[in-house]
Amino acid sequence: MPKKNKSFEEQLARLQEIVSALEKGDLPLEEGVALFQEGSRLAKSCREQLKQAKHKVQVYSNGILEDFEPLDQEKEPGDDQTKT
Amino acid sequence: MSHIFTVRELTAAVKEVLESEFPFVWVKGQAGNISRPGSGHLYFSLKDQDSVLNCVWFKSNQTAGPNTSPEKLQTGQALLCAGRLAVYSPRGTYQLIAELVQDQGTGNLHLEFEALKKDLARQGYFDRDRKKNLPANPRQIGVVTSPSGAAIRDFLKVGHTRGLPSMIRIYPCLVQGEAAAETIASALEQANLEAWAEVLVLIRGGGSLEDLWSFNTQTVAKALFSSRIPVITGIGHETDQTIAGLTADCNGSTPTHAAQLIWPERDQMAQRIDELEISLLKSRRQFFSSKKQRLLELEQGLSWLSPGRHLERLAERNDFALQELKRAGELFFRQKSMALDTAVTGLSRSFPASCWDLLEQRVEQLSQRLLRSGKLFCSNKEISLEHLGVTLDNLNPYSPLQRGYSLVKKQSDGTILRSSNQVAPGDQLDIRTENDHIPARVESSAAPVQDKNRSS
Repeated sequence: MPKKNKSFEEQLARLQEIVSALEKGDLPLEEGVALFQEGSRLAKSCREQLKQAKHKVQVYSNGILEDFEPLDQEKEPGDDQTKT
Repeated sequence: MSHIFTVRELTAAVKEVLESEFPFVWVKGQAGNISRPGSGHLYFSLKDQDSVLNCVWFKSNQTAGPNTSPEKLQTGQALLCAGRLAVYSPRGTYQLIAELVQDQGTGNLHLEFEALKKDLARQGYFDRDRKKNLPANPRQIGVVTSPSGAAIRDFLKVGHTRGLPSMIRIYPCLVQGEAAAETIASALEQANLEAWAEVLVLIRGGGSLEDLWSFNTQTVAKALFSSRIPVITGIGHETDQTIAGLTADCNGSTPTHAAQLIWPERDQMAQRIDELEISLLKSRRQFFSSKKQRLLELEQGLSWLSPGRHLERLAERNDFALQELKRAGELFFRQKSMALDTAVTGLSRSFPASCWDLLEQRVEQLSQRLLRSGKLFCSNKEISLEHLGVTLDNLNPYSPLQRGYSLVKKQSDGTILRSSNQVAPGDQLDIRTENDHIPARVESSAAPVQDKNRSS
C-alpha cells in the first residue's frame, strides 16, 4: 500500500511494478483489484506532484537565506554575445 | 515532400548548426585585409595557403593582457585567435568573432591553459571513473553563481518547466575578475559544508575568454575536485574548453543546458505517468481476461468430467477399437495372400524353360541317331543283296557260255546231257552257245574221256 513519503521516482517504480504484476496475471483476483486501485492512486499522486507550484528559490545574502527573484533586466557584462 | 526553405530559414538553420558546432575554437593563420572603421571594431582575415577566414574583433573584446595591441596588428602577421564562429546573415557569410588575438610567438594564454590541463589530467582530475552520477529528480539544488547574472536567470527560466518542484539555494560568488576564482572555490566549499544540496550547479553566462578565465584556474578545479556533492557546470557558450567543465562530474554547455541535464522536462514526466497509467489499464484488462479465461477452462474441464461425456468417450474408444480390429484382420489376410503369391513365383522359378529345351534336344538327337542307324541298316542290306545277286549270277547255268562253254540238251525232252549213256546214236541234240543254238546228231557211241582235270 502506498505511503505518502515515497519519492516521485519510488512511486513511479512502484507503479511499474504493479503493471508488471498485473500483466503476469497469476495473482488472486482480490489482490489484483487492490493492486490496480493502488496503481491508479499512484498515477494520480504523481501527476499532482508535477502540477504543484514552481521551484522555490532562495539565496544566501549576508549569511541569511532570502527568497530570490531573478532580475530580468540586468545583464552580465559580455552577455550580448551569448545569445543562442 | 521535402521542405522548401526560404533564404531566411535556411540561413537560420545554417547559423544554428555552425554556431552550436563551433562555440569556441582556436585558429591560427596570417592576418590580411585589415580594416579599422570608426566604430573601433577591427575587421581582418586569417589565411593560409589554401583558405581564408573572415574575422571580426569587436571593440569590447579588445582588452589588454594576453592580446596583441589592435593598433599594432599588421598584414602578414602570424596570429593565434580564439573565439566562436558566427553566421552574418545579411551577407550570408560566416566569420570568427575573435575574443583573443595573439601574435603567434606569444600565445601564452593558450599555452597556460594547455599546461594546466595536462597537469590536472595527470593528477586524475578528468578521470571518468571518479566522476559522480547526478541524482535523478533532485529536490534540493545548490547553485554557485552570481545572483545578478544572466546565467541564473536562464537557468531558472528553463528549470521552471522541468522536474519536480524543488528547493533551489543560491551560493553567491563573483564570476569574473581577479577575485572570482577564490569566491567560486569558497562558495563550493560552503555548499559542501552545509551538505544540504543533492547536486551543485556552477554556472556563468557567456563572455570573452578572459572573462571566463577564472574557470580555468587551479583554485576552482581543486574545489570542484574535492566536492563531495556532484557538480554540474554550465559555463559560457563553450563545450569542453574550461578546466572547470573538464573537472566537473557533468559538463553542460550553457546554464540552460545544465538545467536540462538536471531535470527532465515536466511534460515528458507527465507523459511517462500517462504511459504507465495506460499500461496499468491495459494490464487490468489483461488480468481480468486471463481470470475469465481460466474460469472458462475450468468450466470446460468440469463438463469433460461429467458421466454423459464419460460414456461418449467409452463409445468413441469402442468404435476405435473395432476399426482397429477390422484393419488388423484385413492386414492378416493380405499378408497370407502375399505369401502365397511369393511361393507360386518361387515354384515356377524352380522349373525354368531351359529344362524343356534340354529334353527336346535329347529327343532330336535320338531321332537323328535313329535315322542314321536306319539308313545304315538298309545300305548293309543292299550290299549283301548285291553280293547275293553276283553269287546268283555265278550260279546261272548260262553264265559259263560267256566264257566259251556250250550247253548240250537232248532235243526230245530238253534234258541237259551230263553223260553219254543218256543218248543213243541218232538222237537229235541242241547245242547251246552264248548267242545261238546249233542242232546236232549223235553219230557214234561215246568214248570215255581220259583227262582227269576235266571231269567234275
